Amino acid sequence: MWKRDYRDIAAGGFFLVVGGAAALYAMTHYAMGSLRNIGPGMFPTGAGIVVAVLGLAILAPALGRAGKRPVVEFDVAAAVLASVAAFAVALPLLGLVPATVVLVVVSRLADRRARPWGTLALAAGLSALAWGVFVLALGVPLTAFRWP
Amino acid sequence: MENVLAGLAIATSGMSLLYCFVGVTLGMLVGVLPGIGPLAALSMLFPFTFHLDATQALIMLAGIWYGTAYGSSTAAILLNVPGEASSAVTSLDGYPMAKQGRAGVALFVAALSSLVGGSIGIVVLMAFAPAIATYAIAFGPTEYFSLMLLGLVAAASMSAGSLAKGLAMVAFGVLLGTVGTDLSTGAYRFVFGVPSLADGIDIAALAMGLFGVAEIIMSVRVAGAATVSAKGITLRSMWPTRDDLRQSLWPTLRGSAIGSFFGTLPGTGPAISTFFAYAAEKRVARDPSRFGRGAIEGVASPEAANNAAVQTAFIPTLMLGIPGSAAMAIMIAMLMIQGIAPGPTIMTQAPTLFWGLVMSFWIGNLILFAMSAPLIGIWVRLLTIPFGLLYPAILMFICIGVYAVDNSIFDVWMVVVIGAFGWLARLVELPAAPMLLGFVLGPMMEEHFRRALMLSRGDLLTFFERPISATVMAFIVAVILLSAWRAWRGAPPLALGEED
Repeated sequence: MWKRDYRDIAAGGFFLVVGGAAALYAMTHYAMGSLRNIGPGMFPTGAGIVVAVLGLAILAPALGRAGKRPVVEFDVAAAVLASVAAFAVALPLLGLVPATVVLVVVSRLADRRARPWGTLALAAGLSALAWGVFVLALGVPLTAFRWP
Repeated sequence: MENVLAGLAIATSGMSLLYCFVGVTLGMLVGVLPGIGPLAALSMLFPFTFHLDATQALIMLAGIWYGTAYGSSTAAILLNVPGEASSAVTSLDGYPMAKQGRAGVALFVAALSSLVGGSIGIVVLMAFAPAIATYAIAFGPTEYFSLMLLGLVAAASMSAGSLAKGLAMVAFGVLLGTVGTDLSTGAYRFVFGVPSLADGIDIAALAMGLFGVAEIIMSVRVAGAATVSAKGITLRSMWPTRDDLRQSLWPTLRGSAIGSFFGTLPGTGPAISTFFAYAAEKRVARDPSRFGRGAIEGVASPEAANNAAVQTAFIPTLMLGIPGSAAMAIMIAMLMIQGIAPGPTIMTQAPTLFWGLVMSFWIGNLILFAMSAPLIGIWVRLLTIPFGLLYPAILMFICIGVYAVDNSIFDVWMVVVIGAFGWLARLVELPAAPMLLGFVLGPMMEEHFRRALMLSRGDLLTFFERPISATVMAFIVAVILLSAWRAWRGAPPLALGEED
């Protein structure tokens, strides 16, 4: 338990900052127009203000109450997100098959029960499947291997 | 009538049958497996639809959506873990039935009432959709803006967690929807010199990040392989007695009626209809204490409601172009990318799309019923696949799928960013579904807002003076007051999950 509800403080703070910044940016950079003829700036400004106000409504009551501490599985999130990022790096450099292998290997780091041989077999199977489905069947223009 | 026959001809053509089959099978699969929801499956298959014709694409996506409702009861009954939020209620009596050795009967009754509920939902859809289209043809931008606002507010207030959080996510979705080129002035907004942002944030990347990647992160540790065996669930053990059937008849019909009604409302949807259906059965039962201890009505009624609601959800989506849930928002986004504007004119401009889809529902429901009971052994065995093997495969489909939409690596990076956001949002209990709804409806609302004010010469009161719009605005105020009152009384929010 936390003395303050930091989850809602974080959520409300995020909306307050992002909404406020978006509204300010839209107001100063885009034409507002008039109610009869609305410019590109009016709707984003309005949406930003609404987001910021709701952020404040989430933030304010959270300051004065205790909150639950969430279970943060940072290693799982890092491995899963890193696997997608690794795919994004590897695809244009090395091609579809190496990118899929990298994706599988990195993402399996999230699972403590994963064994190396299982990971390799899965990587081989999924890269074959990826090539078969997307390149052969759907004709997505991707090369299986690319030499940098 | 000729439309119905034309629709049947389209739905029974070879390719439509194939995509219907692919859709419902995948839906069933996703429904059976806890840890992957229909939204993740819809966003995963979304890029595939660009290669299909609009009707077939819609038939397939719709199949995933209602197939999920069929499959979700399996894990609820056998494991006490609902495959989706919409079957959480089914486990209340389904799991006790399984413990009493009546798992087979519970599964069969769930499948049968799903078929009846689905069929009644389709009949309601066929009867009311044309009528609503005729009525809605008179709606102008003022009415549409109000209706869309009602949809967003209802979705926010019905989602799990506090009203302020739901509304904030809706508004944040609307704000993200403004990124890119403004439709009517051509101005760039929030592009910051990134060329890939000029077309806005890709909806596939947004949906996959929010529902695919974030859902995987939350499930990797939690979802272990189930230890459940298909032994003992034979076709013979599934056969319900005459008493079982007699006891489930009225609950199934009542559940279908409740589901059909709630399916059409914005923001409610299948999961909430099951709570009402269950509560209704408990109220009319002669002996309410049987509930929670394996009462067959407690399985039949929510399953019928759930499956009726997934069908009638198409009424506002297709006839008004107003999605009631995030899943429906994905269907609308798909149609718009295909160049079809959902709305009352769909009946006159694309009648074959509408009737082909509706007739495919009949076929899909029959396929699902035929697959669920006889092939139960296969579905049970699927529950034993470790999640550790599944999630890398899902990630693979997400990554390549989102890349294939525009052949853009930028969109894959977008998935990383949105996935991280989706994970953090779940940690602080911000509901993700309203955000997607806001993202899809936001740009449409801006256009309607503009046009409405142009017509009224800048008078904001137009939204409260035109009778239909004023009524809708009154509903919006009522929805907000109702959920504020519930929160103040400390009542639990209506929805358990946010899967739909």
